[in-house]
Amino acid sequence: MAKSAALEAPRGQARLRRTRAVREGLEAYAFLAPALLLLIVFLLLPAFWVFGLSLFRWDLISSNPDYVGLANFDRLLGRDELFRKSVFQTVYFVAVTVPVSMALGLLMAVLLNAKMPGRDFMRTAIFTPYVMPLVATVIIWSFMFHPYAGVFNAVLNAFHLPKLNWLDNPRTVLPAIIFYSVWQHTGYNVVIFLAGLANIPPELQEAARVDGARAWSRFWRLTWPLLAPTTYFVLLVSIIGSFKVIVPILVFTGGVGGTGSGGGPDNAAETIGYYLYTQAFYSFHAGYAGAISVLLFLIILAVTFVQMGVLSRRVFYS
Amino acid sequence: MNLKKSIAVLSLALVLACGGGGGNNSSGGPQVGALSKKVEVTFWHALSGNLQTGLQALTDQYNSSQDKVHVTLVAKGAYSDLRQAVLTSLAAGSPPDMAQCIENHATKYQQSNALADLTPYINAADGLSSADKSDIFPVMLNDAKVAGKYYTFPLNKSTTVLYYNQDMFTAAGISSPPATWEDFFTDAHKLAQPANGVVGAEAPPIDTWISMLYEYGGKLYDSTSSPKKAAFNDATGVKITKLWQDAIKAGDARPVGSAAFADQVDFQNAKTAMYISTQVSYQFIVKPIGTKFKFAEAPLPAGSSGTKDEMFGANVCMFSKSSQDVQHGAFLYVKYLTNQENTTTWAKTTSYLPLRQSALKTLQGDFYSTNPSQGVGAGMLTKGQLFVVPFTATFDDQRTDMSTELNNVWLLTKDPKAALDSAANKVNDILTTG
Amino acid sequence: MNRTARTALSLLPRYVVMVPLTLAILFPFYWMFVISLSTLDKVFTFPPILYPLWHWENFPVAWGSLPDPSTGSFLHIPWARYFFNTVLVATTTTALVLATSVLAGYAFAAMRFPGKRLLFGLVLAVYMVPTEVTLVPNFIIVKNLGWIDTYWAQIFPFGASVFGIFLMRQFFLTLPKDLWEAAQLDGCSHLRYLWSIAIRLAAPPLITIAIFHFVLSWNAFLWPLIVTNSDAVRPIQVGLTSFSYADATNPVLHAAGSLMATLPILAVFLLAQRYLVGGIASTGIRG
Repeated sequence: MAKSAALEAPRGQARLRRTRAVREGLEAYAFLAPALLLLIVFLLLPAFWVFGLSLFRWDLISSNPDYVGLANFDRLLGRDELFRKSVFQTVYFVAVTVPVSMALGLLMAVLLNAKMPGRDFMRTAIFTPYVMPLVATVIIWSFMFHPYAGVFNAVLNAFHLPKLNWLDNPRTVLPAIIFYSVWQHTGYNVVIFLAGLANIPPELQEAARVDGARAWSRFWRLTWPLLAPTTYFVLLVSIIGSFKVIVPILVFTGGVGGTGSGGGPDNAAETIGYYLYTQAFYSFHAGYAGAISVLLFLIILAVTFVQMGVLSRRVFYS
Repeated sequence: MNLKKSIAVLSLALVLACGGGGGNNSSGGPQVGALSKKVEVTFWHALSGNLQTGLQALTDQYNSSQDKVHVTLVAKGAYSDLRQAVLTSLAAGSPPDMAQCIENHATKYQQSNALADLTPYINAADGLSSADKSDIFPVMLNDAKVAGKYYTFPLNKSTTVLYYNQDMFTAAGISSPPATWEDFFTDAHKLAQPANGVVGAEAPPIDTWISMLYEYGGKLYDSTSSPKKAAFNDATGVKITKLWQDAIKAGDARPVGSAAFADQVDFQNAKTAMYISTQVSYQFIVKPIGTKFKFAEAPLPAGSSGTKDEMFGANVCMFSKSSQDVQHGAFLYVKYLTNQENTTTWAKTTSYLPLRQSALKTLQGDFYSTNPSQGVGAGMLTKGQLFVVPFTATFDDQRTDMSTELNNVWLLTKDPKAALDSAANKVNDILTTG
Repeated sequence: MNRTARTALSLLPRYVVMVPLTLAILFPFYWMFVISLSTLDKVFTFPPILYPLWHWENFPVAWGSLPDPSTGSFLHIPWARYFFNTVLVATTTTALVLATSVLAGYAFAAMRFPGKRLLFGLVLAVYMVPTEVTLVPNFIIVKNLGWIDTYWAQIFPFGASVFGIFLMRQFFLTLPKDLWEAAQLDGCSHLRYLWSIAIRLAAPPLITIAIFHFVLSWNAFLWPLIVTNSDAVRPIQVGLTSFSYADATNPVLHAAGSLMATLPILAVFLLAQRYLVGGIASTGIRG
């Protein structure tokens, strides 16, 4: 009896564990169902549709797209110089915008994570750029970039530096848009960092203060490691987001009514996202735009994989 | 007097007597019968502000004036938004019944069989009389044709004019606006004050450059009817580009900035003495300038082949998905919008061109004689000086590439020949790949 | 030196950095404010006038209760209806996003199920597709659902958020394991634990998601413009296009209208951001 009970128990436990695992699996899918359903219908299916288009030649209007195999990719990779240019410029855009707006966001979040008079006002002020209607911000910024009446040139002038023709010079148009994007996006990062900081128990910070740790080393020894999951999140989301940049380029270089010389002087502000947008809606090359979106997707996927490989180990398993 | 002519005269008399209202006495053989049942028409447009208010008022009037057709206006943002909305709806197979269409987009829609041919409705018993047809400016009717047929109909048309600061002209000792481009550049030199950041003029947007090309006998393409190759990089193109480049080098002109309304703002602030822009800009500069200085409008300066100025603005088009009755009803509405009385009101309130010669006469009798500047665009129209660029579906794309290359010249980073060759290569590429 | 003075002194470096930064960031907003109170002949003059001219009447003009001085006629924009639509759509969308993000984020963080890594990878991958290109297929889907010109078309396509799922997952991962084990011993199911314990600690990420999706929904322009036709369901951003003309924009009214559209959401943020402090810290539970 005793012997068989001892044999029975683990078997029963195993069965119990198995049913529990099955139940948890089903439960998990029930938890995921609403989100997955919406994501599949409104993001995944449309994405497949667009990727599928890359094998066709279609103007969006006619009822029968022509199947062209890999011809779109052939042209895109083989002899499309503008695409190549847009890839480099996108990488440049991401490589500057992401670190700068993250560093600024983190700095401001840390400084505003204290009980201090005026805190609510400053937080709201920093978030304002993200909330303002985009066209309104672009109108104002294009005047700030004005070659002889703009604020930026007034500042340069005050420091006896030569004035710049910000939006009309191939060398400064992308930096100008990057400047704007950092301004527009930093408040967004501040909010996420603040949420991350709110999860760090203040007792830990207090303890360090009692120890007499100086602010700088306190930040590096305590805040920074505890904030790692948040930082990782912001990095991933910002990189993916900036690779997809379209709208600021469109509005700054296309003019408010869409009349300007799109893509900036000498296409110096052309990014991958902007290129695929204009190919689809201005040149009626929906198939070609599909091919560009496949490549943009693959580029982002590759960058994300590298990031995850390098960072996730250090963030989660340290 | 032959029969045809007498019918035309008769119908003209009737049109005048009935105020252009729909009589069923047209000479054209009726291919489409009278509208039998009530139809709902959806019209997507890109007009806003007072233009939108004007269109809404006319539409409300029309809806309450009869009970066969009801038109619903839907504002779809700016032209670029409208185009995207129309493209998306076409891709989904559910376009509106009618929309404002720029000629080049109409060409694209037509090539893909998305547009309805309006000819049957124009020729229908309740369509346009031959008097109507001869009253509407020929350049506009021609402009409404795609591949030889009426796939669109004119609605809001405009052209560019030269705005000039009369006070600055007087101060520089210039008595009249420049009649030719030679005068224009001589004046620009006299008007420029480099020390104060003031220029005579600002380097032209691509459309003015195209007008100038025509004025010097140049052409955009090898062929007007079926463009296959760019032709603007010849000696004429280089010559006009060089005229501007020299003016920029001398400090008499400067490139227009990308800042929002940069050239308009410069003119308002007397930072440039001359400003080439659409006649509709008048609506937006007259208040800001107020009494700061006196300004007037003049026709675009002439080149060696006289004055030629590009006509812009939108037409309306109807989509082939809608039923014949709906298309028919939509055309009756368009006919109402463009009748003599309404096109006159429209021209007065919006600064757009009147569509009919009879309307122009009325306007010249009162409105234009008290506001001579407002009549400048229409004046060029009567002299036959307006032209339309050959339609190619990809013109927006070509325009962007040409604009980019010309900007390189204005920024003095490229020489005219190299820039135009490079632009021509891009345009050729676009023309061959579609 | 007393305690208050010491605290004030310790805060000083924060102000030294933050005050100039805040002012610099706020400058374009201030300029929008200045423009909204200017007149057409004073806006964009050289040198620019950087102080308000206090033409408060621009706001009733933009609202349509006073005639537009540049045309003499009233603007007919159904702002009240647009505001109502925007509030309704933004609130519903945000609630939906919160619900889907919490459930899915929790599943990815705390539950074991087959295909977890693959599904999470898929969710992340979906985020990498630019939404501008999916405009056309989305329109086709919405059309086939019969949702053109409805609120649904403005809500459901944005009802699930990769950002939200990811952020909630990251948050639930930081919750101490013993908490769930203790709850399990008490006989708590996942749903019960999530609802009565985990979510109560999640104020910061929930507020973050709510803020972003509320703003996103509030500022949505192109999609609503394309999928809606009638004023009955159109949002406030579509109303703003009434100030941009075919050949130019009325910058004064555009700025006044933009401010009208922005201020309510700034007020919401001002109230909501207080909850960004708290969470675990204020509940006193720690790992």
